Amino acid sequence: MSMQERPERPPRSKPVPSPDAGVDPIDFRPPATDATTQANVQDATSLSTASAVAPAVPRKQSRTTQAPAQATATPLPITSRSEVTVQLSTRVSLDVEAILAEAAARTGKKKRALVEEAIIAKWGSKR
Amino acid sequence: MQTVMVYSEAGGVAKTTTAVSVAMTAAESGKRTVLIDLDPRAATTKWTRTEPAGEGLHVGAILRAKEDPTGWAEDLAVRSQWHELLRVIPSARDLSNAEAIRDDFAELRLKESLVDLEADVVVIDCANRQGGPLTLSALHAADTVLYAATASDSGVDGVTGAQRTVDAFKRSLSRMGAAADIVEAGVATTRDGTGFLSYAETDAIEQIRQLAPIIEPIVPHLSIVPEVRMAGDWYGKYRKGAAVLSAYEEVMRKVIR
Repeated sequence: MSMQERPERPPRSKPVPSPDAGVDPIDFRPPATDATTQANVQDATSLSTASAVAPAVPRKQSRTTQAPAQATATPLPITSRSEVTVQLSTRVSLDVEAILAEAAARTGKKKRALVEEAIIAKWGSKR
Repeated sequence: MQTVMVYSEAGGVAKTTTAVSVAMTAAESGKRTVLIDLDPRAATTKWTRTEPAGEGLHVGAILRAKEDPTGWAEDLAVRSQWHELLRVIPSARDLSNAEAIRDDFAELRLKESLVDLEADVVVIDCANRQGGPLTLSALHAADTVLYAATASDSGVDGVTGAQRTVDAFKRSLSRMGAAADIVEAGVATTRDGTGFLSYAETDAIEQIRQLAPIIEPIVPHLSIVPEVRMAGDWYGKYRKGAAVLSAYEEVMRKVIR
C-alpha cells in the first residue's frame, strides 16, 4: 500500500480587508483590546449577583502586560473622565448572554455599551 | 527565497528608488520577484501604478489580520505591468492605522504571510521609522537588510538610526534566545548627477563608509528618475536611464543571492 509523503495541509484562509480599511489615519481610533474588554466585563452593567465590582475605570493593559497576582500593586492610571455609575444586579437567560457576547466580539464594544444602547433604543433617551 | 528589506530612518534618501530598482533588476535577471510596499505613503505603489487585487486587499490586510494570514502574500501580490516576473503587494494610506495598534505577535504576520510564496526574491520598501510595528514586521520577515542613503546628512542620519534599530532588534532576539540571523548587506548610496562630488557629498560618503560598507557603485541620481516616477514608468526603458540602470544592476547582483 502506497503512503502519502505528508498529510494534506489544512485549507488556508483567504485575505480579507482589515477592519479599518478605508478609515483615514486622521480619523482612526484604535479599538479596545481584548484585555481591555475582558477587564471591563465586570465594569459593564453586572448581569449576575456576583460580588461587587470596581467602578468604570478603563484599563490600558494588553494581554501580554497583565500583571500576575503576586506582582506589586500599582494604581492603574485613569485614562478617561470618571463618571458616576451604579451596579445593576440581575440575571439573564443563557440565550441573551450568548447574544451579548457575540455582539461584543463582533463590534468590539463593551458589554456595558451594548446593554445601554439596547435599553435606550427600546425605552427612551438618557435625558 | 531571499527577503530583503530596504531601510533608512530618514525620508527622501532613495529607499523607494532602491527598492523598486533592486526588485525590477532582479526580475529582469530572471528571478521571480515580489515587491512589498510597507510604507503608508505608498510611493512604490504609486510609481508602479499597482492596483490592489480587491478593495482593501493591500499590505494592511496582512498587518491588521484578525485571521491567520499564513500564505496571504501569494493572494495579494499583483502582477506588475513592468515585467512578468515582478509582482507588487501594494500599500495604502490606511496602513498607518496599523502603527496605532500593538496586538500580540502582530509583527510576525508579514513573515507568516510569506509562507509558500512563489518567489525567489522579496523586496520590502520600508517606511522611514524608528522601529515601530511596520519596521518590526519587516525585520521579522527579512533575512537581509539593505540600507539606502543619499550622499547627504539625511543619508548619514538615516543609516545611523536604521543600524541602531537593527542592532536593538538583534539584541531583543538574543535576549529571548532566538537566532538573530538577519544580515546587513550594506548601503546602496545615491548621489546627484555624475560629475565631481561636492564637499558635502564627499563628507557624507565618508561617514557612511564608516557606518557600513557601501555597495558599489554609488548610484547617480539623474533627472530621469523623478520623471519616470511622475509618469509611472521604468527608467530602464530609456536611454537616459542607462547609467542608473547599470548601477542598480550591479547593486542587485551583490545583494541578491
